[in-house]
Amino acid sequence: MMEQKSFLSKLWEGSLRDWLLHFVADLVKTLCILASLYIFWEAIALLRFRGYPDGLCKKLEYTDFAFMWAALCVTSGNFVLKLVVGTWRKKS
Amino acid sequence: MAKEIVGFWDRLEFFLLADDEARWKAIGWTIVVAGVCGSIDLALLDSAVEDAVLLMGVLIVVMSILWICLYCWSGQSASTASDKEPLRSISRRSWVIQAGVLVAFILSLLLPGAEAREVERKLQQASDDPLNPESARVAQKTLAIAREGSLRIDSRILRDTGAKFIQTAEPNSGAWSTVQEYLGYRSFLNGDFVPHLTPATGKSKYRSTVKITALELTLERRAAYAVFFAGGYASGDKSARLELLSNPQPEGSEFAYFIVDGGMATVGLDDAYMRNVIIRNSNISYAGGQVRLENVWFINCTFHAYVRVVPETKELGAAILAYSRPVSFRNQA
Repeated sequence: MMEQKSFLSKLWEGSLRDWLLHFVADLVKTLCILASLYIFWEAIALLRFRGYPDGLCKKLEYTDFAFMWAALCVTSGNFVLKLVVGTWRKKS
Repeated sequence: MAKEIVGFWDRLEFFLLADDEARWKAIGWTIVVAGVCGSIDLALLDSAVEDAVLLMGVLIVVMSILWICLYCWSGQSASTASDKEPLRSISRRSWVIQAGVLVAFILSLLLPGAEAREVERKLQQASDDPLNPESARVAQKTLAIAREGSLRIDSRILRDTGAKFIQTAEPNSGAWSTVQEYLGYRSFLNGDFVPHLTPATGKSKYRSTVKITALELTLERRAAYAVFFAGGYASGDKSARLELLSNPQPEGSEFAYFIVDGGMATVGLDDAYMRNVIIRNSNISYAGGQVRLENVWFINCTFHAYVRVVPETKELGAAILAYSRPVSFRNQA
């Protein structure tokens, strides 16, 4: 006798599972990058607090800012492109 | 059955939706190249932030387009979707790295708290010997760093350690500079507790007066100060006041709060009658004259002009440092 599957289980075993796994994997990697940059930011604050020269801390902050900005742009671009291309290819 | 991947658009779809390894290689390299170039531009070449952001943006766009084009047109990408397993289980190394980052992230959240405890410890040590100029110097530096780093320390420790410097201020000029730093730091902390008010519209016959004791002379064009109403209507005896004791107004403003936004002027408290007033970003002076403050907030102010050490200035200093955040103080000279 053929087992009747619900719509949700069909959807899950079809495209939803793949999409979700990719999305979660990308999200975790993105969060790891952003968390690493936050840790770096806090480390700079600690250096400043410990009395390291202001000029050095400023330079490190600029470095962290540059990487943070690049990371935010590239990772958000990744998500946007994923959604746009995924939706567009599904339709066509 | 494996899906055939032919043509540019199929490869682009595969790259974005399935080929994690290639995509994250591209993401990683783009971040590294843009981040390094931006860092060099900002930190070493001292460029403006806008220019560096523009440079990084252009680099990111160019690198992304080049990478995608190379991937899609070269034969390096997979020929079928099944050649590269799109849903590989996460490797042990990846798990360890991600878990390590998570633990480090959680620990780094505790760091500002640990730094604040260190500030408290340093202030307590310095206040044990307030007559020592070195203690005063350490306390000033510690408070300046705490303010710059937005570290929030316990208000009771601030009040108690500050009180010791206030008590010893007369025989020790260095201690009064420390008190000024304490007052500035207290006003920084007050920013977390001040009521959030929306500017009020409407008219009032009330003529507010702010006493200016000095005007900063710079090439930058800024207003001396700005005064506006906030918080809506309040009845006469509960409404805000901002006037001089020597020139009293017949009735209150009929607005709940006055907000004084600092500029180039130093705001003098001598002869002032303030009720329900929020003074923000101003330099404050007080020389010990008559004053009446009721529910006055000092937010992100400096007290560099608060230089005279007399019992009245010490009393007001202690009141500002006290645990109650809006200050109420009266001196009838």
